[in-house]
Amino acid sequence: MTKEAVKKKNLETIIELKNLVKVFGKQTVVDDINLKIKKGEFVTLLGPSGCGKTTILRMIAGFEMPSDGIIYLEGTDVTKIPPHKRNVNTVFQKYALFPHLDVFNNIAYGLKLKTNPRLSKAEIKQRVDEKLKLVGLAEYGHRDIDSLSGGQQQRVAIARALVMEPRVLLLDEPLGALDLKMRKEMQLELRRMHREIGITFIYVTHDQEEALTMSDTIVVINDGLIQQVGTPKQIYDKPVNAFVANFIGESNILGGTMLEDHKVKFLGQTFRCDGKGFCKNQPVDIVIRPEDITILSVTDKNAELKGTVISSTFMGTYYEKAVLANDYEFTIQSVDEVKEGTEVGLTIKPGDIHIMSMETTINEYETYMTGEDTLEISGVYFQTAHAIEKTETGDEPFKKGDPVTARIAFNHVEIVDDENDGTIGGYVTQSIYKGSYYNVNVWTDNDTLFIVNTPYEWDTDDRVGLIIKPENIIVERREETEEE
Amino acid sequence: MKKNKPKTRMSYKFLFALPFFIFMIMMVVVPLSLLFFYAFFEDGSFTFAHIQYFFTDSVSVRILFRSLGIALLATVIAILIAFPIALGLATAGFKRSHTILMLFIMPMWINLLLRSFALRELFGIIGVERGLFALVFAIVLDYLPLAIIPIYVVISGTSKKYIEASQDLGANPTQVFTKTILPLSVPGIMAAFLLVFTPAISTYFLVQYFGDNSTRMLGWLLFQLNINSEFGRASVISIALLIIVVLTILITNRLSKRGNKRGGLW
Repeated sequence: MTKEAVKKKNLETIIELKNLVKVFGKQTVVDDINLKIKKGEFVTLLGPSGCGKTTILRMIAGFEMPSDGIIYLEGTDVTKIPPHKRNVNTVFQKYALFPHLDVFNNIAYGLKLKTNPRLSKAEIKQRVDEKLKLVGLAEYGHRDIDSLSGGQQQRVAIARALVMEPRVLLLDEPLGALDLKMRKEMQLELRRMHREIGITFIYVTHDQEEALTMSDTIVVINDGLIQQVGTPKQIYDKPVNAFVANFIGESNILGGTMLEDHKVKFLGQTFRCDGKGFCKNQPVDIVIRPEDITILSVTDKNAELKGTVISSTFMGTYYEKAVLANDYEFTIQSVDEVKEGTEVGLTIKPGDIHIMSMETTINEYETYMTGEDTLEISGVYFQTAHAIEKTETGDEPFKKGDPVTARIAFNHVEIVDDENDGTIGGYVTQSIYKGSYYNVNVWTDNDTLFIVNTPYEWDTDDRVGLIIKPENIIVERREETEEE
Repeated sequence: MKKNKPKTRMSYKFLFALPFFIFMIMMVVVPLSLLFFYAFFEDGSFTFAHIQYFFTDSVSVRILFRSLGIALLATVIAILIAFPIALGLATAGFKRSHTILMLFIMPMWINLLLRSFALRELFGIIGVERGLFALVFAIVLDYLPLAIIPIYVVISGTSKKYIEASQDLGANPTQVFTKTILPLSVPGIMAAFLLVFTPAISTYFLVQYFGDNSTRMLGWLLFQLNINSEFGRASVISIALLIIVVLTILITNRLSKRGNKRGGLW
């Protein structure tokens, strides 16, 4: 094959997920995902725990049946094919090595089941030995599984999957149970094996560092939705939203307004930036990486912001500093040591100010009136003041059952510690500091998202209550699309 | 003074173990010694006569082998019935598999005598004669819960991940069962064997209730000898039973270790 032919072959799509949905009970774990994975790629599905990444992997392996959508493997629909007939193999999170078999027989397990063609004993031995060598356990064939260390068990699990010569190797957080040093070693090992055998790897992890160092392509997933697909560098340098920016690497995330092309306002000041194509005065999220902020002397005329160093910690190769400027605590990483309490000037290159449009700027719910001045959101009845006002201005009053859209601004929702003090309860799933306020996501038990801007930090996974004042719910009549 | 202190503390601690030791001596050491005494002494002098009699008397040898056979048959049947029940309960994903398990175990909490009365009445109504079938049926019925529990515990403890790993490597449902579930449940099967076989071989009451002349077992013989005050020969049978039980424990333990290297029976 010529180089071009190889390249072309490598660009073929090996796995395609089309409108993939998985619902467990009432919860939508994977929400209409579309993804194409190219042959030979090292793809990482990255996201916080419970984001749906493992469920996607399990659907590709065949352990879960999608609620909707199609999975193509090399162009064939495999959605309804049982796992033992799919040419993909999995390295399980906790290895799942058979305790009743030794190392050799664990790896030979799948080969011995092959009937078409049935393999001879010598052939099985040759293939197993070859894979044992690949994972660096050539002399370990007769060892018991429980006499191996975690790292060795992991290697056996990889060999057991690879010996089947799958089209795609699925790895479900395979390094999660190893200690840090072992994990680093295995990352390099996996990378080497991927290069050597050249099959497609789909790797699931919640560890962003692991994803950045190992992958060709990263798929960032949150709440069952793909947030961003790109190379590690693209994901790191150009996160598409605050979630990705917050999840990948450390970052300073601020809320701001786009004044015009290349001009953004945040922390009460105007900065030059690369962003363009936004509407005038559009609210945006701004990401600045900790290593992209330069510390100057406070008198330097290039200083765009002035602040005070409130902490400085040596991290081995750099100092991590917290600098308070215009009421925002910047995280800055650089090799210079600056004493706590020092007044400093800060400057940021326009190219390092990353602008992201906010997906939503207001909480919006399509619902129905349950009375003249009450409506239902997420199974709870809310009083609305605006519905009454409308009657007084001569508009037609709302009736029970009218379809309406309810809007609540982010800063009109209040979070309280005790769930019983609020109108509705839920779990905090995300809490991002955006300079002078926190942007918090609260999911209610009915799977409804409330986005809240609050001056306080709330811990994720905490149970909280939400209070919404009647006058802050904006109600608008909604044209209902006719259902058949 | 100081040197003595640990010593006094030791003897002080020993006091706590004393009731246990006295109990063990009274309930284990003394009866066992008596057993051996009766078996090997006649009129104050050492003798092998009782042992010799046991192995040369055609009746007692026949009863020994018959006991082994009946207990083995009942145990195998109990396990064959218990295994699918335990497998179903552990893997079918019933919401209330524990409750269903309780239903299977519940008869054990009713007195054996009452259960046997009921069963005999039932046999009387449907016309089942006393004999081998009735006896084996009664043993299986009585000890079935003891077979279900250990198998259920082992299978439900066998994580789903092994089944998935097996499927992943190309095993169809039958192969998943024969190559993964069955080998991994060997310790449970061995525990079930031990729990059913050991009480079954020494059963007396059920033989009396459901058996006939052709199904007399060691327990029955033991009872008869005791009535006739033949303590020497009775002791030999007790020792034989003891040896059978110990051997069963050793064998099942060895087999379950081979089946699952992770640990023995217990």
